[in-house]
Amino acid sequence: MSQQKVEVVAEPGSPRLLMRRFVDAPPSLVFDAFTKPELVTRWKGPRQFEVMHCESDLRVGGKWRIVYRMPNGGELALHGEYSEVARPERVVRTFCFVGKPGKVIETFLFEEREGRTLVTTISDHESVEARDAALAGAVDRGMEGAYERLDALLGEMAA
Amino acid sequence: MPSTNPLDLAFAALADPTRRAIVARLAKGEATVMELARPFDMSQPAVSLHLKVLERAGLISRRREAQTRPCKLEPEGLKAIAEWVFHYRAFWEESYERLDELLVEMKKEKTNEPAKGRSRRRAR
Repeated sequence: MSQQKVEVVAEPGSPRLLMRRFVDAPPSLVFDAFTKPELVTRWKGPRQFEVMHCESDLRVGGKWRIVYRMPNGGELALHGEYSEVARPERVVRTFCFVGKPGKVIETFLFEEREGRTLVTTISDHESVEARDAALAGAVDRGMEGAYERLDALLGEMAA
Repeated sequence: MPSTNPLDLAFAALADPTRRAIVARLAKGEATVMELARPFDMSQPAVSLHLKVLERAGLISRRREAQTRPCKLEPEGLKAIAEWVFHYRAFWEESYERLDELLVEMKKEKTNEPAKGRSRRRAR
């Protein structure tokens, strides 16, 4: 199967960041992969990130939490609460970095398209500025190491 | 969105194209306000405002001793940004690659289940 790319959509002046990606499975499987802790653990995050803890109480008002061990040894903890759960097509939840300000509302949509699933993740930030700040780092680009990425960013700015 | 989080400050600072251009210029070496103002066709006070934002975000520093107070990049501030950028982008591209692998396994498990049931019945 050909390599899929994550499509990033960010309208100017909007606090929304949207990503789309096709996956080769029906929505019910994809929904489970996104919401069941024992499955989330198996894919969510870059390979060098170790999932140390993952929980997901999948119902309205239920909490989710995931803790990664990062390659630099530090921990990255994310958490939030589900506000909408409609298997297999839709999940809405809050997303926060543990101990940090800022809250993002994440919507996951799973749409069947000829046997495959179009996954749309929508991140609604608190302000256009917060979205732009996140986007400054999420410029559509491949997988370089952190410093190569920085070099590219600086090169692009210099151009 | 007033925030004192260093990463928030750094990203907010870099969300502006002029400030990104200033950072790019400083990546080539120290520069004074006058030198920075020239290519951007901006007044020195306007450049100074941008520099203040970058300085507060820990992305640049300004020397005290010289009268022209040249600016330079702060590698530590940029390092934090680079790490964060890496997380964000790496996170989804690579996560989806792993998801593809997982879904292949999940589909296999799903089609294997009824087959196993049949073979058990046949064995009996």
